[in-house]
Amino acid sequence: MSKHQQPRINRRTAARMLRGAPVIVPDTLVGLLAAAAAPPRDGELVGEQRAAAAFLAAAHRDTVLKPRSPSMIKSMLAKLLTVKIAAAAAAVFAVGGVATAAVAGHLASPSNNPSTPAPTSSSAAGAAGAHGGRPGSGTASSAHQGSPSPSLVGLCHAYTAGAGSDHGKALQNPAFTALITAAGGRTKVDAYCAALVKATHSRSSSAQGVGASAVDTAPGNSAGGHEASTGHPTGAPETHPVGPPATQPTGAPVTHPTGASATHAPH
Amino acid sequence: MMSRIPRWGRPQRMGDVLESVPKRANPRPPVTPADGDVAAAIVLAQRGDEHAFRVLYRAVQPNLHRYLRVLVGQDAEDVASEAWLQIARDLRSFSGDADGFRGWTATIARRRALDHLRKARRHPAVAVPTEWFPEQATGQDTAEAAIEMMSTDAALALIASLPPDQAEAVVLAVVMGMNATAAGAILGKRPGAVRTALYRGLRTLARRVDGRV
Repeated sequence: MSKHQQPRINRRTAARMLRGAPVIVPDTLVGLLAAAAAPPRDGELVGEQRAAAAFLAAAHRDTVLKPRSPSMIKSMLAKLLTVKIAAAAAAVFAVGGVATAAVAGHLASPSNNPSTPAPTSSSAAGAAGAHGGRPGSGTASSAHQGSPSPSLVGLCHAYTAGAGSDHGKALQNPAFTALITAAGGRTKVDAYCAALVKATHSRSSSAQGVGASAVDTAPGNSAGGHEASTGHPTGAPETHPVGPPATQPTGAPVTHPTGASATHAPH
Repeated sequence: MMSRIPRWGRPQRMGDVLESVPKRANPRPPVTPADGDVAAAIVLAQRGDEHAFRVLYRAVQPNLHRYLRVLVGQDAEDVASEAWLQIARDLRSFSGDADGFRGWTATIARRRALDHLRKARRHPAVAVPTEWFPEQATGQDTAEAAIEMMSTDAALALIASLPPDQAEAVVLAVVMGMNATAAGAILGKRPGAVRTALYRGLRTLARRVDGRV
């Protein structure tokens, strides 16, 4: 075929094509362009699983590891609070007679009356964290001074979840202020959360064996460091995390010893 | 020997044209999601919906892959997976409709492809078969193959043999169905420059297919 029979391809051809308007091009080129734009084949979607995995990982990072704003953490805390506050409050007063001291007036319930002996000891220990013979109760109440809510556990989860990526930055978030205060300093947050989370798990996993688990966890925590005697983190888990089911049947007497074996002896 | 090409714009309409193409590679192609579905999927995927993300992948990946084939040859799959990594990561920052999403993803893929080419040039020990280097490809051989088979692969290989700016303009216009403005945004060119690159590319392709180059 002669050159002159070919339709000219010029700027106008390109302009029409880019507009999506019909164009006239040589037959051979029609076939070529049609082949280039043929419908998708299965082979072109081989990366779907990998892409989906990347997407899930990114979505996970966005929601869990990198809370983007303080408001996200706050809303998470709010949720934690509303869900757990009642149960946690009950647990606190049933288990740690200690804790009643802090909020003695309003929340003490009749069923927890047996815990009355505790306040004296705990208030003494709480006033001066490292006051001597009662490390357990001392730490418990000091933690409560920092932040009396069970959201510390939630904060710890948020902190440890993000620790892998934004370790340093995470604590700059104002939402963690309470956690830093409770731990007694930025550098102590790691140890504090480790102890708190560990205690939470061990307690919730042994709902009925409060006495046993309390004895188990208390030494474990203080073994983690001397914080127990300095008044910071380890004691805190003793008080709040225990669920109400565990506390009611066993009653207050069982809970007194949790703080430390020292309190056990006088009983 | 003339044909009217109905419309090269929308990938979805390629089926009409394709009926006239012999020896289609795959008689039962996967279904490409429609624009409305894509727009809805963008919103859902931005909220973390995996299924919606897969819808987006299926809608965009085939053409993205072809674009990358022209840019980086056989490494297209690797570069595509890098691009999707970034798409997955940055999806929440995207705002726009289905066309906007195609443009956004093409821009990401192109950037990854250019990075890849820079790296390949810096480390020439990493062997890439010569037939995939556009500037080294012999138009004649691939043209013959394209005429015989008229497979998508052969067609893309022939397009890849064009100078890079022409090759990209052809793919964006013909395969991705983009207009001059959208293609220009991806290439960093004015619409007029896209039109020029496209017609030159088409003209060269026509000559090569006819064996006149």
